[in-house]
Amino acid sequence: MSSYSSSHTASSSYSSSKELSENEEPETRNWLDLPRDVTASILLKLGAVEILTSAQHVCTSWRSICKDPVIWRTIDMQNLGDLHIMPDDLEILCRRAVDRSCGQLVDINVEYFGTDDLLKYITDSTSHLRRLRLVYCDDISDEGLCEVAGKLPLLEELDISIGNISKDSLEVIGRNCPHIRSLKFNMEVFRRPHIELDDEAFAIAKTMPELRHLQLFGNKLTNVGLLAILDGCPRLESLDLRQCFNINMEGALGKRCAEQLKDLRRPNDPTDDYPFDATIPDGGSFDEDYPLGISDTDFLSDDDYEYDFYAFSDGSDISDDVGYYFDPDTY
Amino acid sequence: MSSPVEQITVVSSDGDEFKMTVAAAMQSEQLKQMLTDDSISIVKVPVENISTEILVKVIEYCQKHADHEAATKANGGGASDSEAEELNKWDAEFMKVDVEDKLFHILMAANYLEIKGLFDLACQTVADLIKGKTPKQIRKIFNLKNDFTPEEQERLSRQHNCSFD
Repeated sequence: MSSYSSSHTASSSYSSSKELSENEEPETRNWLDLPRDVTASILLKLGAVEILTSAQHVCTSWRSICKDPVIWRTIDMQNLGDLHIMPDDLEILCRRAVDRSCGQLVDINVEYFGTDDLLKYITDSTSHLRRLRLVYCDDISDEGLCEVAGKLPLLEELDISIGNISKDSLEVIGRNCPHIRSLKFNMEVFRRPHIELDDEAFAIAKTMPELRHLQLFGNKLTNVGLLAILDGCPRLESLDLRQCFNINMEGALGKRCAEQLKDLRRPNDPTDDYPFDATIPDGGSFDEDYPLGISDTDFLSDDDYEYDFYAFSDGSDISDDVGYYFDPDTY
Repeated sequence: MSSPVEQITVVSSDGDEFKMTVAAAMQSEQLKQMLTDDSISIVKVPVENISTEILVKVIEYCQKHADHEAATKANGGGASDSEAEELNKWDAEFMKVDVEDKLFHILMAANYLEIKGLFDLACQTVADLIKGKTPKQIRKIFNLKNDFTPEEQERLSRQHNCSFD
């Protein structure tokens, strides 16, 4: 029998003097004895805001870890809507976080704040960005995103949901980011007025051939756009088309989706695991001449679109429950 | 050629011996490497830094997660949402431990034995204790001293315009 040697590659400051029995005084349990990388692992789970406003003020040891670029490779500016931190302050904190990454930033999440200037600051700081999430960033524009696209050569995952970004940015991103594998471009959905718009789908199909994962919640694409995506993104594995109510999954296209994709979410599939609000505003009676609750700029764009009602539907009868014209149970 | 090992024995720092199934042991990268190394014939593994009390908890975690993996495989791959949720609930209950005592040691044990799931879980548990707390409150929970000089404290407080206390 050969006994297993107790040497190991894990951090080694955990000496045998730390086997303390239950009867020891709590004072002797010294959390500062944790190996540095273990403390770093803990602090990483706090998110950037907590690290900067709280954790780094606890003691000099924690502050030292909080200044280590290693823990700033991922910056999660998750903003749970804590009202005591204003967007301006969040921007300052984010810049500080970016500074601490010392050029090693790989992954950043910005929610409910952020400007074009901040985006520029982020992308100027690093050439290694692989994951970028800009969600509910009302002040980030197409212009801003297009301007920095050239600085994201290694980008693999992009989430620009619920913002003011249009197909223009998608195209520029696609052309500048050859490695993009995952795109989330989710919108708040408005059923009324009924608009069909395949521009975003076409932009994706044209410029993102390496896509494996695509989430287009609430998009206005039609079967034409969907077909373009299936053709243009042959490596697509997962596709989320929930609340894309212009899509008709019956027939050959639906079959093709089911065959080509490993993971498909259909327009009427449940939304409980969708991270944003999926409630569809109740638009009252259907009236195409009276746009209700429009906030996405697509409607105001110069792109051609046409009101096109499915032949089998009598427009005024469309209720919020569109299950009648396709039934997921048939698949 | 030794016969296939189905169980191994781990020995705590207190000298107590515990049997672990191979599946459970494989949850630990450390133990896994040993088990897959044909040049080592294992009978007993001393884990010198881990007390009986903690080792029992660690083995419990490993066995539960090994069982879950086996059940998932048997069902053909994906865990159902309810199974995943059940496991999460179990994990949450499992981690309801004394901060002062067990949490620290479980974290260290998971780190030492390289049990990724348990390590992440323990880190998250600690992080959850820190979230939303002021530095003062955090120090109290973890028995840490404020070793900043008053000048440093002043400077940091001004820098962030945030409550420091």
